[in-house]
Formats: sequence, C-alpha cells, structure tokens
Amino acid sequence: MAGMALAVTALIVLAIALIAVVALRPNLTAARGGKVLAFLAFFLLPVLGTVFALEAHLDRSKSTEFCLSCHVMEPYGKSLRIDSADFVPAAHFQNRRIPRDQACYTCHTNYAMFGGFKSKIRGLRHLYINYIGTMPKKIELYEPFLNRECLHCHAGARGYVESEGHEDQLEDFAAEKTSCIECHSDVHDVANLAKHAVWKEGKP
Amino acid sequence: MTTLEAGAGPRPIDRRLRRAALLIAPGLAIQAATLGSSHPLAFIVFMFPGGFLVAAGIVLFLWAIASA
Repeated sequence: MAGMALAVTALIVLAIALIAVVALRPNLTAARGGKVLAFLAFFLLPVLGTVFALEAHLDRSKSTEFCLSCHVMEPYGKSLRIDSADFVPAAHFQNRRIPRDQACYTCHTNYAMFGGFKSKIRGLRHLYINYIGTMPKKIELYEPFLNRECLHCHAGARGYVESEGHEDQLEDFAAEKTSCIECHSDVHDVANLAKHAVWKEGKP
Repeated sequence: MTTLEAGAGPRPIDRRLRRAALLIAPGLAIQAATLGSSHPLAFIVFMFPGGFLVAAGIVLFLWAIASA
C-alpha cells in the first residue's frame, strides 16, 4: 500500500516536472518531440496519475481506520472489542476471522456481481451525509443482512457444516430461507456498549 | 527602429499550454498530498479541488491542441 502511494507520487512528480518544462519552454512543442512531450506531460501522465491515485484512495476506503474516522461510527468500532464470544462482529474481529484492518468492509460489502462497486457508491453517499447532509438518528443497514455475506467465508467450512443446528438446514441457509442472524443475533449492540466488558488488546 | 517578425511573439497555443499547466500542476500536487492520509476528507480533497483542476487542465490542453 505504501509502495503504491510512493509510486503514484513519483509518477505525479514526474508529470509536474515535465509540465513545468513545457510551460517554461512552450516553443519546444514546435518540434515533433516536443509535441509528444506535451502530450505525455499534459494528458497521459496526469490521467495515469489520477487513475492510480484514485485506486489507492479506493483501496484505503476499505480500511477499518477509514470507516471509523466518522464520529458516528466510533461506537461500532468499540463494539468490535466487546469481550464476549457471543457477539458476532467482536468474535470475528478478535479471533482474526476477518482481517482487522478491513473489518467493516469484509462483512458489509456485497459479495455479488458489482458488489465492491456498489459498496464504494454507498461510501460516497456516506461521505456526503457525514459532511454535508443530515445524519439519520438511527444507523441502519440498507437491506437485511444476507447469509450470502456470511457464506462467502463459511460455506463449506467444517466448523460451519458440521456444527450442531446447521447440518439439517444448510440448504435453507444457502437459499436465504433462514437468516444466520436469527440465531447469531448479538451483533454490534451499540446502545448497550457501556454494559459490556471490553477486550483491552487489538484496538480497531 | 525595430521590426517585429511574424511569429516572434508567443503563439496562442503557448498561452493555453501555460494556463493548462497552471491547472494541472496544482491539481496533481493536491492529489499527491492527499495520498499520505486515509481520512475521508483526504478523499474529498483528492476528488474535488484535485480531480477538478486536473480535469479542467486536460480539457484546456485538448482544446489548445485541437484549435492549434
């Protein structure tokens, strides 16, 4: 990640240097080589720099740090440290069942076609609401949490397939007839955070 | 007495290239500066002053070469 940012920065610095050369000596563009240089400096390198920098930003937008930058998300970050194996997000975070540095994104992205794209569009909407719009009084999911997101990792896993209570309902889970959340209902519980003990290590 | 030679002054494309440079270079500098942060505001600054300046400069450059 840092390497990518460094490479993009180097590309941008090169573009700025070439732009300065052409801007200070515009008569260079009278020759064929100067025209190519101007095209590189004013078009190709800025477009490439912007595209790669956008990619770097979009990649960072998956980070837990990014999501928890907004104050409204702070309680959700704290809920990842509830000291109880019953709380699904906390247990996943603390036991590294999901990458800690992409904890929010891993469970809340959409594992369908264009899911990543849709998540990024939703992220842009969240930025708008956070800085310009009106924050809703209660934070809610746009749609019910689908088993598909859980099964992206758990499907086929021995611990899931052979677990008591799962064996005879695997098809129902896959068909979204029975929601995982029906039994695993302890999720973020931000309204009652103060009542829970907190795991001291591994700050999100 | 001095004689002005035809073509001795700056060409219109030169002025447009300089204007495009004045848009693209600061835009790229802003974009590079935002790469150091993971904060959502860094993304907004990247998109709006940064992306907008670069896009406007590229359009101006394309217009300059098309009209030359």
